[in-house]
Amino acid sequence: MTHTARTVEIDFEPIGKRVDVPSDTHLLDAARQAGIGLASVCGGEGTCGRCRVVIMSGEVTPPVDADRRFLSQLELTSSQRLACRTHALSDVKVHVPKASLVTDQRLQVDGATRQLQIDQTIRAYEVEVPAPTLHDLRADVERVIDGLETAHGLRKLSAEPVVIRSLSPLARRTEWRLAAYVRSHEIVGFAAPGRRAMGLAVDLGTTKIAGYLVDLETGEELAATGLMNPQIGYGEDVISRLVHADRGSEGAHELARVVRQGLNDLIGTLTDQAGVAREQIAEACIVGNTAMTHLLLKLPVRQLAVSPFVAAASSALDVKARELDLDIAPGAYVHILPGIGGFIGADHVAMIIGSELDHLPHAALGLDIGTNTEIALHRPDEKYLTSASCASGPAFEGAHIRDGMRASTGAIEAMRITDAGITIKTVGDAPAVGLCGSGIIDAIAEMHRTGIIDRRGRIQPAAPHVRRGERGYEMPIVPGARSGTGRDIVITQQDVNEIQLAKGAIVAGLETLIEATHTNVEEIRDVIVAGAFGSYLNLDSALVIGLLPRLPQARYTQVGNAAGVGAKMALLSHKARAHGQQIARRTGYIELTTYPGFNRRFALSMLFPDNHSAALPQPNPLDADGSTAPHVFTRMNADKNNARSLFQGGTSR
Amino acid sequence: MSKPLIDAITDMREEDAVQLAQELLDQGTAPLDILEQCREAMAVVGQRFEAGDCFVPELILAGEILRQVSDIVKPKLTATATGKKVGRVVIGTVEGDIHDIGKDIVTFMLDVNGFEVRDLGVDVPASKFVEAVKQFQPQVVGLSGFLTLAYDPMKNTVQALKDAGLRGKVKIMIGGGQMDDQIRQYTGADAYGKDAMAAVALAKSWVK
Repeated sequence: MTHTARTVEIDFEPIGKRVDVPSDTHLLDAARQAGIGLASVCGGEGTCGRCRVVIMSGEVTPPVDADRRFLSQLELTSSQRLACRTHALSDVKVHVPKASLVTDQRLQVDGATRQLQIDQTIRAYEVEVPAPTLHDLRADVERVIDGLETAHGLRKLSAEPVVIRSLSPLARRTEWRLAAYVRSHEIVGFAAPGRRAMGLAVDLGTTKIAGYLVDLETGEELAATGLMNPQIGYGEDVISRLVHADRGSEGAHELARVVRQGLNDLIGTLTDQAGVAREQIAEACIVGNTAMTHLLLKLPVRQLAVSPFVAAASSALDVKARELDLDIAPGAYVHILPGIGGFIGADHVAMIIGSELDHLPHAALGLDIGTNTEIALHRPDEKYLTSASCASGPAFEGAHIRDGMRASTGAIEAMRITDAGITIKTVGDAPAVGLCGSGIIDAIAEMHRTGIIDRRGRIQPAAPHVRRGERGYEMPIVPGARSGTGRDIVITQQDVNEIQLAKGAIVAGLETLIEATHTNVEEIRDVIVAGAFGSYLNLDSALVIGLLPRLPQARYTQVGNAAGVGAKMALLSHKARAHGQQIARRTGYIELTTYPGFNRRFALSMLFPDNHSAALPQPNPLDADGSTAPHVFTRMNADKNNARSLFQGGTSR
Repeated sequence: MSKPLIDAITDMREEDAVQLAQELLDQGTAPLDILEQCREAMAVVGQRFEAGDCFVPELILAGEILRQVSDIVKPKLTATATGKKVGRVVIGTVEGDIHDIGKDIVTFMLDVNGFEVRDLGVDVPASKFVEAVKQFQPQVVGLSGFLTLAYDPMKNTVQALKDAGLRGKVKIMIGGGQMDDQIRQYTGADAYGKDAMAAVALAKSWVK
């Protein structure tokens, strides 16, 4: 090669890793440098066709013979390439399809298991009817409906043409023995006998999608999987996606198309795992924040993006799965749980259903930490809950952090600083390639505990481990010689700031909620922390940096994906759906951004609590006079035995 | 001369700063001198911000501290007179947008630089801008917006001022997350400012 190589930035989505490489570096090499397990059997020779990627933006080299061998013309024109045969000519954004990854990302799919109530939203009936003869000319569907009435006493059944269409060939293949999936009086699908009715529950997150395949009769979970939301390429936060959807006539279609495709991929993985047919999925329940459900349903979003942020629809909806291009039973419905207000949507209702927050006999907080962090406060003395949504951003999911990544193989998930140096724990005990949310929180907490950063979050130039980086001071965690990428893994000043912003948003939201409801913090007996990040989070570290209220640790429960559990419950039960309606009706909503004094609170909440010489794991009390406490969560009684350390309610000075 | 007030503000020690300002007043320090110290402190914070040694929430916090200090000092200022203003500015975040952090910082910086500022708040309809310009008769109008969705409301606001026959009487500057000179052209404003310092420089150049 004679041309001079420039440095270009390759942004791998939806993993969210960026890497700077010379422009003559193949994308496969760039992926390796970024620590991404892009599949390659041939080792980059262009002979296996496994390292298929999609160029989402930017310029790359034109296709070569190897690309043409493995990719159709259509795929080539839709910017698919073999990573080992392609290099970037400018900064590019590359989508890595799931099939091209060797390692699965660790996504939260399991929620705390609880006894699921089942009152069969769908019932499967087996039926055998006589084949038509010249003396029995009843039409196919009437024949089966008659059979169902005779055998099971079902009356007034009907089926849509699209369901009937699947019946005629199927019935002849199975010699008129069939399973019919019945929803109220409607047959939503037919299947071969013995095929049980399945349900699909989906927690459609801004960043991640979790899916569950459940037996609708027994409630048994047969498969669970996760997927990055493919809309990420259109913006990491909900507002930028809404803005994209509002742009021109194509934006909304595009966003709906990619997420629907993602859901179909998810369904494919689930049915493969469980060994069932897609047509067996007779009902689905999808939850998501208001923006996610609007984009999925192609509801208008402009009014949601601008003040006063109103949804086009927030009641519970039953829509045909085929209207959402979902390839399941032809007549199947998708139930969308109701939303509450603003961006607080069905996922929050599902989280409350799943955690049973509103059934607790005392005041309790429920937090679902994610790109948007939703918080609900339950007070048994009040007849309703109060919720707020904080724009915490994707930092906890690894985005906007120099060496941030999601919790996949090689991600640092825990970190400690001791006299002997820095110790780390990575996902899969693989060589470190970056930091995931829990690792970042640990790192910041340790930097704070050891005085490497001050109250304002400034890295102290003279502190141990600190060095001058390209953009200010930074702390190396793993030297390039020992990392999985060959590069140093560091925490920069900007990384600390990003975490401060996220923490500030959550704490300010919590404080506002507590203040607006006139709740005394001591009354809060339970704090339920939901969501993937929340369940891997090291509570000690969260308390050290002041991310969570300093209540005794025994009051905290990390419940995993409660929204997913709630979606499953609503999938299986009419009662759970009714509960969802009730929650939506009875939950008040506080718009934080316009709440008086919110900005000041946000700015104050971004500071770190003063806790010099804090010794982990026990979060230590603050200075006895509390003079340095900037906000309620750090203002606690200095109770020496620390057993019942509480902080005082309110913001009294 | 040591300036504990400046240090308190730049160190984000809210309560100390307010207390120090009160003490200075009690000791008979001229209100204008105290405000001058505030301006110096804000300049330090602004320099740190530019150098990447401080970030947006700290600007909010500094602004908040300074607002509290000026709340104490300003009432005394009218008593001692000489609070001569260099010009008047009407500012607000345009309709549909509720982002106020940037706008608040600009408002504060204009204020400490001697402008009389009428802040219309957030989600301000074009008609309210028109009304404020009629009443307050500013030389400068500042339109703030964070989202790309703010482009059209900005354009509409400029148009509304034009329709009301006020366009020739004011200079209009825009600012916020996504703004640049192309957007300025689109909206029909006179200039865009990339940060609070730029906004002050623009306003100063227009009231000369």
